[in-house]
Amino acid sequence: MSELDRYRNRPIPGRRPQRLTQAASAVAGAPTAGARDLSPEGLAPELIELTEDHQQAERRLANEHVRKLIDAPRSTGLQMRDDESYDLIAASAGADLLVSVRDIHMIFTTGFKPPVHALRGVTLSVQRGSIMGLLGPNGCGKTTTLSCVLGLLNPQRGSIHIDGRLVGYGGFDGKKRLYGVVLEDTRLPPFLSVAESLRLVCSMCGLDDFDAKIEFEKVTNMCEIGSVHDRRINELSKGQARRVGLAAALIGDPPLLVLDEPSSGLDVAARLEFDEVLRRLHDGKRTVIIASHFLGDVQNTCTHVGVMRDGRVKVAGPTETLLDLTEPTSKNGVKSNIFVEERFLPVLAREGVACGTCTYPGLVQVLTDKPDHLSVPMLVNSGVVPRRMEPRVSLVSVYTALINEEHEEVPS
Amino acid sequence: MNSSSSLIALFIRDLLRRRILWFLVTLIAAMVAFNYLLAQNSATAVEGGASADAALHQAAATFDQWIAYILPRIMVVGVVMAVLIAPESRRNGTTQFVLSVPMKRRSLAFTQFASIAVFISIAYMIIHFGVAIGGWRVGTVGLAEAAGAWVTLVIPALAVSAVVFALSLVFSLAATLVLCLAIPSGLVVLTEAVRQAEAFDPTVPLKMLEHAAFLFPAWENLIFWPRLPTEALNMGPATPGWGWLLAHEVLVVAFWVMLGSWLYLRHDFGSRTALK
Ligand SMILES: Nc1ncnc2c1ncn2[C@@H]1O[C@H](COP(=O)(O)OP(=O)(O)OP(=O)(O)O)[C@@H](O)[C@H]1O
Ligand SMILES: [Mg+2]
Repeated sequence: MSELDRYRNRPIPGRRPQRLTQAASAVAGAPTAGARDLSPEGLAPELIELTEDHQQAERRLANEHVRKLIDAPRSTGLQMRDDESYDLIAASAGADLLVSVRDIHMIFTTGFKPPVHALRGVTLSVQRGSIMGLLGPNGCGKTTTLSCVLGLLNPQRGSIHIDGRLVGYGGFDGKKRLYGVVLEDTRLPPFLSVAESLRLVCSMCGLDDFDAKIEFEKVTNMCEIGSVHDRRINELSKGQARRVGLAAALIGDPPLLVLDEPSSGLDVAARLEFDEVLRRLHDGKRTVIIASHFLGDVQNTCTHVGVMRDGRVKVAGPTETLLDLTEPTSKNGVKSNIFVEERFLPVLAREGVACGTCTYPGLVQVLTDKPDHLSVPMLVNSGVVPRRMEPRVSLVSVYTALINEEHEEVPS
Repeated sequence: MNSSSSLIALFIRDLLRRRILWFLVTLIAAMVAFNYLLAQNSATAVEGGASADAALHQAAATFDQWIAYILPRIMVVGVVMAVLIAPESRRNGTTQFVLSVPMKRRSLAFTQFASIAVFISIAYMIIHFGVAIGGWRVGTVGLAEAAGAWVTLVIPALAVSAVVFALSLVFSLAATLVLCLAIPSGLVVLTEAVRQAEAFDPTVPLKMLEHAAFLFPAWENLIFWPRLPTEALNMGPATPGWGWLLAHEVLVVAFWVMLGSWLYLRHDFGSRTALK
């Protein structure tokens, strides 16, 4: 039995408060799929009542476990089991979940063809006010998961809550728009013009004429679609259609945005702009879920990341946590990717900082185990100017470790 | 404008774009032809030497013959129109768009049905008034009757369309037409064939066919259009089972509509438009 299992199976007396039962249904570190002790109702009675200390301890253990798993493929050949998945978000202290997906299974059956088991127990928690990036190879079930969240598909098993409301049969309605959506193929009625379709969304969101006008102007400027107002949806280019779709999704200022590969098909400038828009949207009130293949963009814009594989979310957690977990500690303890010009070698030697060769001509790599925020001021104070700094860890390492396949990142 | 009315406007626009007006124009043309042929009929009788009275009588008889021919087939118009909206709007993504705005599936279905119901009602009004004018000219339909009898046509037509529409919410256009048109009319044809069969005893197959036909609406047994059933009602039930017939129609409609809605609420609208 691993340390983690032993910890999880320890007896804890008393009852767990209601709020925690919800949020911690996927207690940190506990594999969510196929694990009896994880569904709220299935919690073993002795696991009830988690104090802050316990929670912290669980989180720490979970983090260590995930780190081991992420490190594993290179070092030990140990791999995450197929049915293992880790939800580090539901477990974090005081997690206020806007979207909570619990163990959903989606099986597509079409005619006499063999059924496709697209989702095999997806568990995903999205914290209110966060930007959640959903990563994963083609066909792993990102779009299917999002369609389930939106109520377009009815999963055979599991439950989905948005803002405490169960996503059941029939969909949502209401005075205030609950979410805005940009799906893989932008779906506005193809026979309407851009302006007409935006106005339609305004009136469907219950805005009166005055508010509709203001909202219309706002989203038009934000997504820069003023020049295509009178064009029909089916005449737009892919990128223009994405922008219009995003504009339509922003109308009514919904608290949740669901974007499926929003930047695919956008030109370079538009992609950068789009990231900017996303960052502006991140005001602590709005929650965004993005499925994407651009790891760089996700790392730059998303506060949380979930990595999917084979119809499961393998690991989901705050971006920082995931990056910390994969911080390369191995390579002779080097934690920094700071490069300085060779002429500073004497200064560095005086300061007792070791240096190593690197592939950049005329530069040497600073070898230190200090984190950047300590080593950079130290270097600058001694008169050394870093010429080049690279992110020490990137989502690519997390991704490749979890997905177990080589992934070439497109530099952003 | 609130959300329902703007959606109804959207769907009406979609139907107009798909040339539903041409369909209505065709119906008007058919009604003009109906009246022209009826007038021709009495004119030829007069030319043939018949008295004006006799010619009118003959035209009235022809009118009744034609109505007897039209009546069992009149619901086809509603069936064909009711299937026009839901499959297409699934195909072009409007359904998925509306659901993800978000809007309740039920509200979406209501607005879609409301928009198609407008056109179905117009179509049946065209048929009714076209026929009623002919009937009035040959003296078999009174003016007051013509002004009121459209209700007895439009309401059953909307009920049948509701069935077709509810099924088209999940089934493709072709499947819905097979279910609502091909199977019921196939049953009629088959029943006729079995009844005339001599090679075997038709009792058991006839019973089975009857039971199968029981699952489908058959308003033509119940409506008196283009006349009002005043006399029939005054004298009591028009046929021995008048009340039962009505109850049967209502139950059949409710059954299919509920089945369609049940499937619709559980239907997978898919993560991409190319689905169905
Ligand atoms: N309607 C359907 N019928 C049958 N199988 C389906 C259907 N929709 C999706 N699938 C299958 O479900 C799996 C997940 O598909 P999904 O579209 O969610 O992948 P994805 O993660 O969004 O991929 P991508 O990154 O390419 O967008 C795939 O194997 C796909 O073939
Ligand atoms: Mg996808």
